[in-house]
Amino acid sequence: MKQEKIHKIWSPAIECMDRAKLRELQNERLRATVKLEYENVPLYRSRMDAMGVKPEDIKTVDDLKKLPFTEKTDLRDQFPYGLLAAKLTDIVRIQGSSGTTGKPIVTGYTQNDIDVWTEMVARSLTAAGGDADDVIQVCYGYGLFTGGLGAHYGASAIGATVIPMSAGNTQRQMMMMTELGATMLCCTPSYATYLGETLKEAGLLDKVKLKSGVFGAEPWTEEMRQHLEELFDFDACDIYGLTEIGGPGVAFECLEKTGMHVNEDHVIAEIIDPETGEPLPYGQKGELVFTTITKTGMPMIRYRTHDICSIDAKPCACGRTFLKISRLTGRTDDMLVIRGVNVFPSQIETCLVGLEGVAPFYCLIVDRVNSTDKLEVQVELSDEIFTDKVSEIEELRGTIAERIKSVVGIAAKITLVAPKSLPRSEGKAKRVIDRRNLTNV
Amino acid sequence: MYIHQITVFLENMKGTLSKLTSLLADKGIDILAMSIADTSGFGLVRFIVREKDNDECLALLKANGYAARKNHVICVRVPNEPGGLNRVLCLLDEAGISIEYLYSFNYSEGNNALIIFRLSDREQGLKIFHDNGISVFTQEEINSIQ
Repeated sequence: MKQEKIHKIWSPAIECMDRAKLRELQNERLRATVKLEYENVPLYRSRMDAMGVKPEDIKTVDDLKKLPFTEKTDLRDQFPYGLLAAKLTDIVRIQGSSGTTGKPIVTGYTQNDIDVWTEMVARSLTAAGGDADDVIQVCYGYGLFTGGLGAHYGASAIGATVIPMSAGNTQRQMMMMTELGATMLCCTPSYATYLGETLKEAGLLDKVKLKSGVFGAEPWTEEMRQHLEELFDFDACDIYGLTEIGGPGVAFECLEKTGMHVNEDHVIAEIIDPETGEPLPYGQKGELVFTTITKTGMPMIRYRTHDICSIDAKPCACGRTFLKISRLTGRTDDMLVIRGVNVFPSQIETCLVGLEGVAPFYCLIVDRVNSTDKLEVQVELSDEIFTDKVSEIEELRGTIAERIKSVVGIAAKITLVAPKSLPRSEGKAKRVIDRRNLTNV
Repeated sequence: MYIHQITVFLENMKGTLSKLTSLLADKGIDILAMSIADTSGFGLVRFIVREKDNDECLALLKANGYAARKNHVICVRVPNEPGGLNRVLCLLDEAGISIEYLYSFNYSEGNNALIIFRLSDREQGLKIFHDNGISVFTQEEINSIQ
């Protein structure tokens, strides 16, 4: 049932802070972060030295542009502990996601970082109408992936009743949701749609008491929001985050649903031109870049998300003074988000290396069937086929599927195709066909 | 004592088989025996041509984007009567040799059917056939099929 549009704010003193004061706070925290990084992380020190930048040169947020960028590949190359600014003894948690190739990326959290993250999620859930009276069903996966634990801690912080379902087992999710009277739902928007449609088919929708949902970990569209809100008759709010910066809650929507407020007392958002790296003015579309200013475990300076969006600096009717980022409209690299999991085509390549009988040509076909993402990987056979036995070809398919499952973390349908049959442009195979239509916002 | 067989990978889609046979027909290549093993995703087409056509056929297939290979199989004469095939299979079974697949020629020689075998142990299989007086059809004999 849809709630009355009342803007609840978890930390009003911060979230509605005067922008000049907020800027001062950011300046001070940025200086401390840069100093911390320079003194403790060899990679940052050497990069800053190479650019001739000293921590003292960074006085305000305007000086950010003097600092080097951080890339996902840096996390992979420095895996696992190379980017830690804190000692391992002070790290209390590891979270991670898949990297661009076989190797995962991980981040280390101090207790401070966990508290910061929890605060950000508490604000996000509150903005979607949540409070201590709510029963919050979390069906993000619990584990290395930040979704489950992130939502869980935030929901606990606001005093809500948490149902830690984790992902999967839809029948059980439906039973718990209806029997326990969940009032809020946290999961990916595609899973929410699937749940909603399955509840509808089972004739159970009138037993659902959801008033809102906080959905993230994958891009979605306004059309999906409308569909979800019609299904459940509730408020569907977007939430943004990434493991490298701290997990979900880096930015969140309020009930105005006009973009996601960035938790600016903890992170600074910039939009840059992905080609030149130059900062772009508010309102202009470009690549989103984050600098953390309160993290102590693995702070990030100018981390390139490769997500494309714009920043909206107009005041929001909810009363928060935090800037808003628009819906993500695409990526500057070839990363895909499939069932909430980051997938890079290059990961697939690693899985095919050294396999007899296949050529290094493949194509990822992503589709959404019944609100669930499906990944098909087409792999070209080499022209000298390695066997005349069906069983050995089936074995090869099984091996590829297993490797992809272990490297990427999701199940894929493997289709073997004839040599040179995949579409090519300029001699290179087209690596991705995404039929989900998620970026036409 | 072995004969050559060509194996081609086909995607399980409408029209792929006739596209393949058209390609061979246009070059005047005669298919003497053929079998198809299929799954939901793909099929393997195996066939026998005369020796003179083997290399041309293989090159033609690869040039046209097919995954193909040439390998050895055994072809035996089996009397075209009840129990004819059974006798051969029982011999293999007793010797502990597995059959990966088998299929027959479109052509029969007098009162004999010609059966192509892919065995788990090719050499042992040939020995069993020899020891039990089962006649093996040679590549030369295939080449002279009219």
